[in-house]
Amino acid sequence: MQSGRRSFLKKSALATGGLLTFSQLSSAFSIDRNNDIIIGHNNHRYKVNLNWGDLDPAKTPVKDCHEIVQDSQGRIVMLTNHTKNNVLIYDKSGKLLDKWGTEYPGGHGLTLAKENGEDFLFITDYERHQVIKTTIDGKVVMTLDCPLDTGHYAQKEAYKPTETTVLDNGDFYIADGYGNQFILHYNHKGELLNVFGGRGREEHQFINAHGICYDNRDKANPCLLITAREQNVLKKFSLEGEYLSSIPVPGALICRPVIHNNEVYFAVLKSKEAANDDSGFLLIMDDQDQVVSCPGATKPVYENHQLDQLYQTIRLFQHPHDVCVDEDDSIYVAQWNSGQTYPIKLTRV
Amino acid sequence: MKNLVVLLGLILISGCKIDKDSKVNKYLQSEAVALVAPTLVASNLVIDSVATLKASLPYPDVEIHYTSDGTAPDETSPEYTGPIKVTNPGVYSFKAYHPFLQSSEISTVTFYKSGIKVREVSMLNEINAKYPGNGVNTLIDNQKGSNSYSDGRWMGFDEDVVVELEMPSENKATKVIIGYMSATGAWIFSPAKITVWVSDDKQDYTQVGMVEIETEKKGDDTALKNVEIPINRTGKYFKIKIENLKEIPQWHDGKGTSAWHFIDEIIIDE
Repeated sequence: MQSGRRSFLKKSALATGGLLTFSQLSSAFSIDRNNDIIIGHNNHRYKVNLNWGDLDPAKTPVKDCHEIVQDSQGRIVMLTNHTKNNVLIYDKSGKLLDKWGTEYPGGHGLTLAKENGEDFLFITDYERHQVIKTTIDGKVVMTLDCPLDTGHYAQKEAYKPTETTVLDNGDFYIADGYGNQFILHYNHKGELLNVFGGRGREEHQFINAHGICYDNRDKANPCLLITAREQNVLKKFSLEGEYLSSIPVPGALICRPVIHNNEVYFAVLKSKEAANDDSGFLLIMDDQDQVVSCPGATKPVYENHQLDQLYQTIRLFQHPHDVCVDEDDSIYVAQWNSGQTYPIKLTRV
Repeated sequence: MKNLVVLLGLILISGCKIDKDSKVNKYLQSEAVALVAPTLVASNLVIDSVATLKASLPYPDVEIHYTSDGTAPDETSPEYTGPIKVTNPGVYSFKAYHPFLQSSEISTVTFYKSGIKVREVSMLNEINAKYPGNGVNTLIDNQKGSNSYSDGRWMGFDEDVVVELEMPSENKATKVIIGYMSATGAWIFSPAKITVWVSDDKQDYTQVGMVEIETEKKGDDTALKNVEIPINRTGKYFKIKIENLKEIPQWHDGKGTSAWHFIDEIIIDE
């Protein structure tokens, strides 16, 4: 009986159009008539291009693809911890335009800063225990060491920064997500202004403060979004470091918040309770802090304002680590521990 | 003649394209993607009367098929349509199918017959304050733990553990079953060694079984495991020593340090 329905669905997909076919498939909503898989929910649904950005690993290898940003010229800039070429610069079609960087063995966080019309990058390196500011073509302009004089670090090795975010005035914040879990606030000259957070399970503390992002969607009330990845929680803080609120995302190990238009996009490293470790997916949250789409995972469902546990449903993403969203709403996905694969591009449908 | 050559050329080109399957279509095709194995939730895994088992994979047009005899399910196996009442011990296996996507791997769950009812359980070492479960009775409460080591059904330790179990009378026991967790991402390793002794008077103990468990390798998935130690002895008192891994292997961030181990249940089987 069941195999009959299955073959019927297969046949209707092969047929060219027709009202019955269309309604049958629209109920599935995961497949289109070309048999391209479509992932995601509600208005955020995507086709998947696995071959985007593929290069010859003998010439341009990657290890973990950690993070991706788009620069002012529209180029896609990706950071890997492979020291043959730490930074790869692509165009949106996936063609390699440039590559540089051999000194970032723990290259992890990548953030774009714009100063007087010029692009700069903030790179966090958890193996060097440093944050490095460079020009877009890799010239080092500032290096920040472990803030030993704060008294929060017994030795520099305890400092393993994972992410940065930059304000319009040049102030920036560093999240020490693999270290002692502090958030460090600096002015544009690199002078330390404030320290908050720290390791712990209190509201204002973190386990795995992996990502940080300046959120000025509400112009009157700008704030910081900080992921507590192991705890499956996004926390909001004031720019002064005061804890504001928490947004739980049960089951989702969210890496870093990325704001595009009015929404926040996340790579989810893995599903908390999956049997397979390579159980990652993506997550999109609207401006009301509601999860609206989880490409590669269960549809987000709220019961009594509580989000149901999220988990991977198809074996597509392995360990997504960051997303970058371009002006076409296409998403570029960098993956950690995925067998040295290049980024994946998703096209919105 | 010239036309024919051109035609051949075209066919060759298109032939090449089909060979490079993934390059023909710009976008990933459904048939190249596999479903995730169904998630299984059981009310309890040690059956004293009945257990309820739910399977789910919330993805459109998925069908789940299952077996209850330990064999691998296929599309001819019964279809899962709702929670299953489980009254007999055994292995239940589930697999998800989809009209376009590849079928999933198999997820399984094992139900155990409840063992000899233990009169009293005690622990010679301290209960670890971080992961006490519900106290030492956690180990004999017929409740298996979930994938979450902090769900209250697991006891966690960073040292050797010695458990003493007193039976209501001298019972013939065929085997001891111990449930443990392997989750190296959370620094939880399998116990390294388990030894079982039996006594009639709580004084003179005789070793009746011992097992060494292989240490996890890099990349091993998180898993809930059981080890069965055959004993085939009559006895009123059982003493079980569960030793933790004393040196985490080189591939792990915790290399050289001693490991945590987590135990959820001890069953003395008739």
